[in-house]
Amino acid sequence: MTFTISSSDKHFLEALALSNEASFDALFTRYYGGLLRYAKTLLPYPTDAAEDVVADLFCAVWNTRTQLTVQGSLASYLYAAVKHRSYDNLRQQRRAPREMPDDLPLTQPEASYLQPDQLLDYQELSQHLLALIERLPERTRQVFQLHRDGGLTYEEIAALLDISINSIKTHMFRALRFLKDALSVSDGR
Amino acid sequence: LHPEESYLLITRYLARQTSSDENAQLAAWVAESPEHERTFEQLKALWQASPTPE
Repeated sequence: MTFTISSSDKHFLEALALSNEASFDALFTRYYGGLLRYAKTLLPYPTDAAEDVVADLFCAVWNTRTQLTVQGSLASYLYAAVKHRSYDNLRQQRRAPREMPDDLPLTQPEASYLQPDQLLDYQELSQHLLALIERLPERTRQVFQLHRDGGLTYEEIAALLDISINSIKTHMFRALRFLKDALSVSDGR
Repeated sequence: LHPEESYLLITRYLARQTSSDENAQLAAWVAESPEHERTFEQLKALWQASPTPE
């Protein structure tokens, strides 16, 4: 599947090829969080493997900035690169004996339980939503985050995860219905 | 629009992936009823809550 590259992506890559550090910073700011969340869904927790994979990718992007050829959107290029690097990382881990983590994994703070008449302010909504997103089935969560946080289109997500566009729609609808209903209940409406 | 179509149209709109025809279709749908408007506001709230990479 191929996608046409958007003009904003093209300007980005041209500026990057000219060693424009500001455009690299902008690239990092725009994609780091979403790519890291995606890598964490592919790599076992708790390790720093996801952080390593994403950091290595940004290093590689900078080091190869003059020869970078991107077919399709920049977002789908970066997400596909994280996927391939994560699979490489998993293959290496299977060959090397796994180290046991020293500490127990940190758990997410519990979602705050809200009184029905309490209005959610923005921060509470975010925190509550984060806890709800964690409860989505893994594939559904992945699709939701790639679309919302990664800004990928259905076509790009379908190519990345190798599932049909209809499946993407089903996952998205389930995620939205679940999150919307859960938020409506806690909002007392 | 069925609920599924409307939910997906709203979020594709929020992700800025809709055409101008689809935007017009969505605007008409939202204007149809207070219920539709509330659905739009609820989905917008959950779409825009952090974390978003910006």
